[in-house]
Amino acid sequence: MKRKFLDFSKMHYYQKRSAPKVGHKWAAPFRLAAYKTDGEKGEGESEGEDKELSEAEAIKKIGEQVLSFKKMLGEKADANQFTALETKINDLATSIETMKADDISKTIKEINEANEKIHKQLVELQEEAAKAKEEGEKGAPGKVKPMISTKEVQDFVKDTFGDTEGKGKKTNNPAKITIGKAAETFGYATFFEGGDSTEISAFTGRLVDPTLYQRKRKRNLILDNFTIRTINVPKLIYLIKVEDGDDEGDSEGDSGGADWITSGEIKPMRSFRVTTGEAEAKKVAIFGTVEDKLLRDVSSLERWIREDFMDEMREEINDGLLNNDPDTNPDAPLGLKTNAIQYTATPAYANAFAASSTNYIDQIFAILARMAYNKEEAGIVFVASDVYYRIMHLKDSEARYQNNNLVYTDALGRLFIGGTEVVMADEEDIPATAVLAVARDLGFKIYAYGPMVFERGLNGDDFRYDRTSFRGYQEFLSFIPENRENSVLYDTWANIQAAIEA
Amino acid sequence: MRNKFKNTREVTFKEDYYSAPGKKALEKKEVAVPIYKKDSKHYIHYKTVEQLKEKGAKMTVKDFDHTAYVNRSKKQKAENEKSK
Repeated sequence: MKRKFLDFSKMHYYQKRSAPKVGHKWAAPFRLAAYKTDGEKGEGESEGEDKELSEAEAIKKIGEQVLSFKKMLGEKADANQFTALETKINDLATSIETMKADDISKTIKEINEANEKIHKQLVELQEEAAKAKEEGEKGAPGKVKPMISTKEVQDFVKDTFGDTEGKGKKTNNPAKITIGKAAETFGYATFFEGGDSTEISAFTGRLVDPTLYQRKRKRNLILDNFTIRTINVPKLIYLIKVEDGDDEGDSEGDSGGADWITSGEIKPMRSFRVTTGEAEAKKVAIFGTVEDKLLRDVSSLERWIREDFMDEMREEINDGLLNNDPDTNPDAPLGLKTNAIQYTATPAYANAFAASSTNYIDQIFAILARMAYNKEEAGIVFVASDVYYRIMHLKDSEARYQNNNLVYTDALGRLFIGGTEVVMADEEDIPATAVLAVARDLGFKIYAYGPMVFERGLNGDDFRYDRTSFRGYQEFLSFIPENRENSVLYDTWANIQAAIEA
Repeated sequence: MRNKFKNTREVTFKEDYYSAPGKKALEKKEVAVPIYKKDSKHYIHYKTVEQLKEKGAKMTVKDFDHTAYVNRSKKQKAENEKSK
């Protein structure tokens, strides 16, 4: 009977492949066995390659195979298992001629089963190795591959804190790993750890300047130069005397007047009438709401709000009392410029300058002459600030700066031309192309109805939302009787120059 | 109407206007600055306008339309308040 020495049909590919073949690569099994557990043919294998070997040769090959298995498993190889298997193979090799067929079959079967177990063990080992290699390259799902291994950390701890294993030392102090940090110079760039989150002034201390710096506001032409009386009623009535023949070109009626008579002659008659004009108070106001927490946390805030609101109201008051035309904005009072007269040359000045052009001083004298001609005494001439300084360096015919009785600056630095103070104003109020002159006893009257009010209180939902509101207001009345309109002159330098130059 | 408005004229100059001293300077080929530039618009008292006419100024003269001025001012004020 031909004995079936080794039952390859029950073996996996790996074992079939490991059938004795000359030049077979025993080192390849890891790769091949990893995906060849289904028993399919492996790489480079084809049917019918197994050839008949002698029994001794076959047993020898099996022994070599088992030895290679043992090497592959390394530390994981079961020593007892391999020892038993090697003993069986050796016994079979030495006793095959004398053993009974059943014993041989039984031994062969045992060897085959042992090989199968070892093979299975090898396959599992290969799969674990492949998985570990894959995880090492890509990282576990959802995790980032650690930059430092566990062993590296353990080595570091041991180097830093000493060998604490088994010594029971514990510490709650946080350990910090710094890489490459050596002693350094104390400097601003590195001393304060944490960047912007570290408040450096907590270490250095600081001084806070309490001034709230803000833009420079323009001069207040009206409030700085005009007397404003305070009244306690909202309406003002002013009385006007009407004389027939007042208006230019009005030939109807005559109020009459005094005249020289001879003794016994009838005396001349005179009469006049009266009428009234009126002015109503106009209100300027401002309002704001602030969160209570802000008021509490910022101690100067209420003062800043008060100052800002009152400055804003003063600017608006100045603008209204200087420029407003009630036909345009009936909510604001009458402005100073609205009913001002324009310049016309008096007889002495009409086409008076033919030889040379006039300058600002000449033109201011012309203005003063005009107002005097209108029976008004000029009190203040307002010019733009750049014109003010332009006047300062006008020179006489001998190139000397103007400084005579009629053009001078007093001890306080105030400029006077023809006995009238020249005051500089901001460009927004008096542009450089224009000039404003007002009479000493100003025909333009301004009254304040009550003081300026600044109050805090609760408005609407303020109580519900933890807020406080602030309000400010003041009322003004202004008027200029028609027969005092000559007390205010406002015109351009060009018009004055055109009228007085030939 | 108040004096200011009824006495004011709206004047547009057709050419540069020089006073006598300015014309002399031009003749001498010196630097001269015109009092009123060409195509500029000015609001001038009617008596000064008469003076300018006598001196040969080339200009167009219209009465000052206070109503139109007020309407323009109101429109400008409304636009200013919208932009706030």
